[in-house]
Amino acid sequence: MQFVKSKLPVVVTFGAAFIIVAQYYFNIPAWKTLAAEFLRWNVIIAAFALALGIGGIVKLHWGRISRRQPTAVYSAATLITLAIFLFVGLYETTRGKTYTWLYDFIYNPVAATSYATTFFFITSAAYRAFRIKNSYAAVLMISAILMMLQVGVFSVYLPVAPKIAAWVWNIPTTAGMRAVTIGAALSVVGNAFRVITGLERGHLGGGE
Amino acid sequence: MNAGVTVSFIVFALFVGVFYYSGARFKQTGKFSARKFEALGKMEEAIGRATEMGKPVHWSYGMGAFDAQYLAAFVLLEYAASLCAKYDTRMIVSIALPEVVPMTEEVIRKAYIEQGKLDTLHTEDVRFWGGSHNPAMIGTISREQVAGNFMIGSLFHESILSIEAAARYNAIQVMGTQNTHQLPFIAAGCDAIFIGAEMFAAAAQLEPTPVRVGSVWAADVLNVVFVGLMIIGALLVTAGNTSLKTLILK
Repeated sequence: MQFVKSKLPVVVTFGAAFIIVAQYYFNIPAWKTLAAEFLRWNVIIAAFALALGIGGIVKLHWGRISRRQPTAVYSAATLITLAIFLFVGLYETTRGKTYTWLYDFIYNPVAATSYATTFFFITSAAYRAFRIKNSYAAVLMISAILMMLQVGVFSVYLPVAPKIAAWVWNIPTTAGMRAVTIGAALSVVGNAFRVITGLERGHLGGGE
Repeated sequence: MNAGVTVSFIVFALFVGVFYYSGARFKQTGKFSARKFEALGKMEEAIGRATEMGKPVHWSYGMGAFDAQYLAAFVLLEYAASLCAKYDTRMIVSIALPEVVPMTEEVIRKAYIEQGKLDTLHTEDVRFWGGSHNPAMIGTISREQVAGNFMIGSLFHESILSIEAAARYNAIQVMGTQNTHQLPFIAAGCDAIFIGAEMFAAAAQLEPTPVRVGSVWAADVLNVVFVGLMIIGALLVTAGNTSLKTLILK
């Protein structure tokens, strides 16, 4: 059991990653085909993990219902909806008439409404972000003003504004972004190397 | 053959060389120093405050696809979970990707076992929300009135939603990402942040092992090499010489 839980994932990770990395450096058609196949398997593995996720949702909401919490009615609605979509999807596939109707006329409007409410959060958050409460926020605010000056009426009455905005975008912003990207990319290489070689096993519930 | 493959391979080989050399050197000397990350201190402060207030803390990886940032986040999650276990504070985790659920459960379980508090672990607090992550996360933060809010990973606009929801309850907020398009917003809205590579380096500071120290050193050495190459390249191109550019693209 210990082998399956801790060693097998490392062996599988190393084997798959070796092929994917090697096909980038060496032009061997068989390895390229195998690498493409491994990347497709990723979708299948994620589908298995989805079952775990659904298990977690059922456990959480069933617990709330059985404890008769004040939010139990919402938990019941969640579980009933989950069951309906699961049953209809399995019965007539996700391209079926009923499933499509449920998706287009129940899920989509609800999702859109839910997403629309985030507008208020974004507006309020933007106000909070642009409020000068620390030096970072001050830099963000000044940069934002400079960027806004390049459009509309400002650019007509202040012809130098677009040039300043372009300079902010092309020089300090790009330099900063590239510094972060290069630094992070190198760290990603290190982290990936540790995981691929099995030197780091924190995500499997183990240490080094 | 892709352009730049030869140089890419050399860089990778150099990285592996420095990685093993630095790791072995650390094993011998035990010397490693890094500047203290404010965000780590803030995480502890947030969990301490949550303990005093009797409220939970919230954790999310954001909505981005599974990438190396998740691996960095797991180390920080383990740190936060250890503190939560130590102080008997609940940590609610909102997850968008199903494949992350078992890994998160394992990381948290390990932290609780190490603290000898496995019996206090609330497994139902690791919550998979899928596509409903954002509204569910806002709802969770609001209902539980969290005292601390952590978001580490591949962040997109959901970081602003999280910041806003938690700010209403004066939660201490710590976020980290290497997504440059979100960094300005989390810098302005949070109490402390991890910028790009800091997420990875923090792991070495939390637990300096040969593997982690080697990784940080290798990244730092190559950073210096790259900066040097950039300066030389800029000078050469200014002088009308493109030989370095041609060499790198081989």
